[in-house]
Amino acid sequence: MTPEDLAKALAALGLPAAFVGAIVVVFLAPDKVLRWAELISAALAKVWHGFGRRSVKLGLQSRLNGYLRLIGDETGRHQRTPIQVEWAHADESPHQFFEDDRLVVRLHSYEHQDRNLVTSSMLVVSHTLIRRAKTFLSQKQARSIDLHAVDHMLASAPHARALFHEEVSGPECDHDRDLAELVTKHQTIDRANLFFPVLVRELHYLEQRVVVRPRDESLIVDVSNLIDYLVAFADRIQGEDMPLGVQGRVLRCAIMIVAKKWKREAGLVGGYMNKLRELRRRGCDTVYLVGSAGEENAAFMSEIVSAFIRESNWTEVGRREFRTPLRTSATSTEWKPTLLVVLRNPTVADITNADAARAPDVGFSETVAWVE
Amino acid sequence: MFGTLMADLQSAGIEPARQVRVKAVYDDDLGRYLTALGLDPSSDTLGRCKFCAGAVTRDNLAALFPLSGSIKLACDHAPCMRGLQELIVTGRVRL
Repeated sequence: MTPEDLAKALAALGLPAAFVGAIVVVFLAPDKVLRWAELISAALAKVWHGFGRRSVKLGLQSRLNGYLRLIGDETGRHQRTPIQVEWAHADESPHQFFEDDRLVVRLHSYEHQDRNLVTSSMLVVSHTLIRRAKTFLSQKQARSIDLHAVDHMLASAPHARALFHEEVSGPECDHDRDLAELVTKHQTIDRANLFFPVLVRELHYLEQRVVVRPRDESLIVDVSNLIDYLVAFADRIQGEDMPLGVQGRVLRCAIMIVAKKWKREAGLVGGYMNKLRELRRRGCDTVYLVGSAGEENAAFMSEIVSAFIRESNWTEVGRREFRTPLRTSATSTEWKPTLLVVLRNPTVADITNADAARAPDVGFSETVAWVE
Repeated sequence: MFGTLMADLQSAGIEPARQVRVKAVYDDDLGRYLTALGLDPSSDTLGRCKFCAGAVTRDNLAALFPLSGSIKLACDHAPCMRGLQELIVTGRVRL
């Protein structure tokens, strides 16, 4: 039941229940409440100019916070960073300006809210999305992540998104083929719902672990390999052999597909457990279990996860369901309900000297096939 | 151990909540705000863009920020916004 359905049901029961319903909605979907407030405020602004300022502020906060909530859920960040638009004092002195030591964004009137959205989204993404990790990446890698994230963020605001394409991402990609290629790769990864839940999550883990930026390009190569791996995974054809994971100097993760029907029906957890044990032994830090979200397969995946957690110190740090396109042949695609479970070794050590970090000698040579 | 300590604190949910406060100036206040900072809102040019060195006017002003002891202006051209984003990522400009 969505918060709106709940509110409607309670409203049908009478005024006190409607009041309770409204409070419930405020707690469950604060961003939607802000969005309603924005729309009401925008309507009132046509009568009284003073409401325009409020509409701009509420509109930005609702969209930015809604987006950051989504990113928090998808990348496993427990801590969310709420955004508050704060008006600068109109009579701020230079002394106060320097003392505050912060950027001041110029926001246009509500008629130009699309431009406000584009500007604010770009600045907020720069500040909040794996900011530290981006300093380890190549400029193009970092920029492509920002561009794709802003594009994703503006998906629910088509006019602002069109403005962003027209003025920012389009010209930049037209002038830089490498950047355009990276953005296209992120789109492919995102179509399979792996951009935030896997790529950004891995980069988030990276920024937590790496204390000093390496002098060489090893991290850039690691991230490049991860991106290529995720593209190949997202673009695979059903039943196609896939490398099990990426084992770089710093980034070590694997995607394990749990979909073999005969194994599930026979309750054969052992094979998957052996694979997980091997991944752990080889220094893998995160394993993403992917499989059908169908009831039987989801229960089988949970059985594997529980068994592995019982015998190791690993923890489940994320679980989400989504629909993902799976290529059944070179020309056809089917949308399938998919379950993603994230297992993480909680005792991954910090990397104080990334220059000296070495990948384990043993690699992920095996392949694994998606068999429905 | 700093990274793992922070991760442990986050997992336990005991890290203090942060909030990003985006400081903004609304169009209606822009003239007064610029005057208070010592800029002339009635002139054709407010100053030079930190990134493209082009003229910043009231129409194309995107942001103001303190850097190296002076007030810097950024125009709304995409490459200049990119420059501004890079300053934010590297922490030279705070949001």
